[in-house]
Amino acid sequence: MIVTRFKSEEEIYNVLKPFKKLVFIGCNICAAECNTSGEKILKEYKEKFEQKGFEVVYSMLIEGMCNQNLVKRDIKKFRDIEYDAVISFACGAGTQSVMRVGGKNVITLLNTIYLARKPRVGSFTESCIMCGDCMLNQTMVCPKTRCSKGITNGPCGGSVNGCCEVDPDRKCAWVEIYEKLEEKGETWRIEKIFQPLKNVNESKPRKDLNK
Amino acid sequence: MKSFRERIENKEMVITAELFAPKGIDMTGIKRKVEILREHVHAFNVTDNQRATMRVGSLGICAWLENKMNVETIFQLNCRDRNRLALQSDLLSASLLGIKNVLVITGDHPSVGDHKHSKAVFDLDSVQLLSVIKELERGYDFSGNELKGSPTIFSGSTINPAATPIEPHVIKFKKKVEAGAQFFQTQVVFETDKFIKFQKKIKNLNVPVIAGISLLKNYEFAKFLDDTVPGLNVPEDLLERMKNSKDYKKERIEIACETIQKLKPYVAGFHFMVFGLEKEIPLILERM
Repeated sequence: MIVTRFKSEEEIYNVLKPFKKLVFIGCNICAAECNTSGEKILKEYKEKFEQKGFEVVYSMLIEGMCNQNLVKRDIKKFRDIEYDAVISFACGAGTQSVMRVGGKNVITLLNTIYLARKPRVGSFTESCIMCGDCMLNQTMVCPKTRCSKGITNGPCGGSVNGCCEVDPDRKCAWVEIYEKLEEKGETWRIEKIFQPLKNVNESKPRKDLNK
Repeated sequence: MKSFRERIENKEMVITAELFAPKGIDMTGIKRKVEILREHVHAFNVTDNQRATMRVGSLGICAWLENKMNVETIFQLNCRDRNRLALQSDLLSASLLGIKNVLVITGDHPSVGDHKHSKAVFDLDSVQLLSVIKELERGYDFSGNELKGSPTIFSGSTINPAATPIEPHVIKFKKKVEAGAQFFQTQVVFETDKFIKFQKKIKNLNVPVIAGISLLKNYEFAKFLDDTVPGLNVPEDLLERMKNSKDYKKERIEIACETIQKLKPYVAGFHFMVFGLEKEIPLILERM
């Protein structure tokens, strides 16, 4: 899932200054999972904003705002209501869906952080940088994501006592990889030299997938 | 005088010393250190934005030292600050300026330095960069384009023999050798037993390893190194010795000499990183 976080209050109120009547659109998938959207959050923010003098004239949840078609269909529900801005509780992709089809003044309250798995409630482990050249079949743990330097041929000199130089509370990705492979007797998988990325996904802008 | 490379290839003991690139272009400090050491060391390493702090470039200082001070240098080249275009381009520039030795390093993460939010590159890692150097020497760039005039580069890399667990580091070490590393310089060694254990693991690769030697300025400094430098442990007994010593200078030189004696059978030479105590290096070398 895509992990999002709220922007600072200062930034939020600054960008909302010119507006009064707001429509809330929240994503009910990823953002709801990490408590930056969902029924409870939208209600909480409605109260919060109304105390600050805003008026929330409509509020809705969409099952996956990255699905632009879905957004296009659902936003028809408030087309007859008068409003100044649409407030998006979604990742960057979800927000841009609304920006494309949702008319005037779309504002997001969130920063999009990373792609994660959720090992347990309230815990989100960054797991993939979507590099377009997956090496998980060799490494089991993604070094491009979990190593702070994203290096692909083994640990750097800052890997000390099994931990990362950037964050001593975090296990070195290459130690994790080694231990996982060692358990299976397959450390040979990382003995070959991995070549630098040549995949198209590394060049930006990436080529969009159109079927 | 024989070059650093010739000495290593002839299996003659090499002595190198590390010069920290200054912040700003005042070269007085470096000049002084070079004058103290020039008769004693075979090549000077110059750090490359060490600890992710912005400094004069290693390439610039190496060229300046080679041309103005007439000493041999080892150009440290990190993967953090340059993409594959800049890495190759700097290697060609180095060659053009007369620099013959390159030490390939990953580079500390920007978050430990003084430009914490700068974008780290790591387009290539140290293993991949060593392979690229081999290609440049063969006359081709990374993309396979032919070079008009190819460089000759004596390339090395680093290893921390005291890292734990050591196994993943050994795997990477072997890849570095396979990729073309012709010598290694290590992190400062205090734990000689760990070093010797590591050396036995890589013995059959037959690649020269130059052991890092430092001087424990005083007890507080030893404690500081032990606490703050990633991958560097100062063993309890050495800390104790420094703590109880009445003559720091004598004690630290004694410790360095003992370390050198223990490591001597296993190494191709010694690399000094002494944080301002350059004057003591000749005293240690005298006793070797």
